[in-house]
Amino acid sequence: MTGTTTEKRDWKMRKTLLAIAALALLLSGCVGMETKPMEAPDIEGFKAGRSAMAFVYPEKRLSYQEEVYKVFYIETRGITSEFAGMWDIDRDLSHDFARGFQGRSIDTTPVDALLTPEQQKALQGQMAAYQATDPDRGVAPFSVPQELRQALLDQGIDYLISARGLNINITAYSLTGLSLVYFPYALTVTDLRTNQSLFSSIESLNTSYDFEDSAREIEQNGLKGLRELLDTSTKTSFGDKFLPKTLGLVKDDQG
Amino acid sequence: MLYRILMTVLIAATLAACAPTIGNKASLSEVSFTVGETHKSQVADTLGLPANMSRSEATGREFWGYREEAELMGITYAVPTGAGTVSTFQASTGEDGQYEFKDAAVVYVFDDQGILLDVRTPNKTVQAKQ
Repeated sequence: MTGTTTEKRDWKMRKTLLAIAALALLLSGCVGMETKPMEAPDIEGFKAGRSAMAFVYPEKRLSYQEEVYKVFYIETRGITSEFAGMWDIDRDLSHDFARGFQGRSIDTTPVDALLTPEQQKALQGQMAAYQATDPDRGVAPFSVPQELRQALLDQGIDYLISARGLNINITAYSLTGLSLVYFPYALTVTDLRTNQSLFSSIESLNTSYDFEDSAREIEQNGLKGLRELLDTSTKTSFGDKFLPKTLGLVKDDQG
Repeated sequence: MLYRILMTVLIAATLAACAPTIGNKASLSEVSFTVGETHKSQVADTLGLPANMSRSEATGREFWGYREEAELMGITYAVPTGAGTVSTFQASTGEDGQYEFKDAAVVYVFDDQGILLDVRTPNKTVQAKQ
């Protein structure tokens, strides 16, 4: 865009403030969903044990929604993009999350290093089929099938951290050239020895990006832009104030 | 004079209205791919990722469905409601942006190497070039 340096800086500041306001508004809707962190004895066991990390997003889809300014009204338009075969998001996010937990001193290995391809496919199928939310119970924990549970126990794994991606939502604002990315996922921590769920909640990766001509620029080069954004967002979510605090790994006075 | 200023402002505002940007990168009726030669990565680079993707395990063929444009999901408009106040209203079309292959404007079929085998227009709304 044309203009003086001061005008460009002011415009960038307004866009940043808009992104923060929009994300705050979005996340404020999640405040009402209280999440119970893990119990203290469970946390001690979790920190001392070995965990496997499995992130699965079976749909492999981006859902775009755009607010288009039309002077006298605003149009909302939607479209989807599928990327199966273009990006192994399950593998990448399993590794990203495993690194995140490792950074929190939780001995975590991504499942592709532990299970055979057939077992991984079975796990992905089970996670694809599971209903993360239930009108009566709220968030429903993922139940690990016996065969996969035994396969992990045989490898010395005590806990399964499973994350089932729900939908990658991208909201684009054509007037400002800004897009917000909201990727919720259902997170469950299961003690494989007792087959008990220690933690279950809906969490999310949230980020934003600028675009020049189209919000779909993020698809270029094998979705390179989106991969980098989600990688950064994952790292951010392992900060003291976010996921570790929600899980109970960080006490309130430390957060 | 006031009328001319008002008309200028209205025309400028109308011209400043935006066009949707989340549709395909190019118009489906204007792109041209070669059966037997074009790779699916070239289709993705030209049009963007497909709205719907399907794969036949038996034949190894992959089907990419594209919409003509992003679907209208609703509009938000403001109406003066008296005493200097304005209220906003939303009207929804009931659509959620999801759709099935049967709604595709064009379906590209690729072999197991990603080479274009066929171009289909199930709804015949677009005359796709080959």
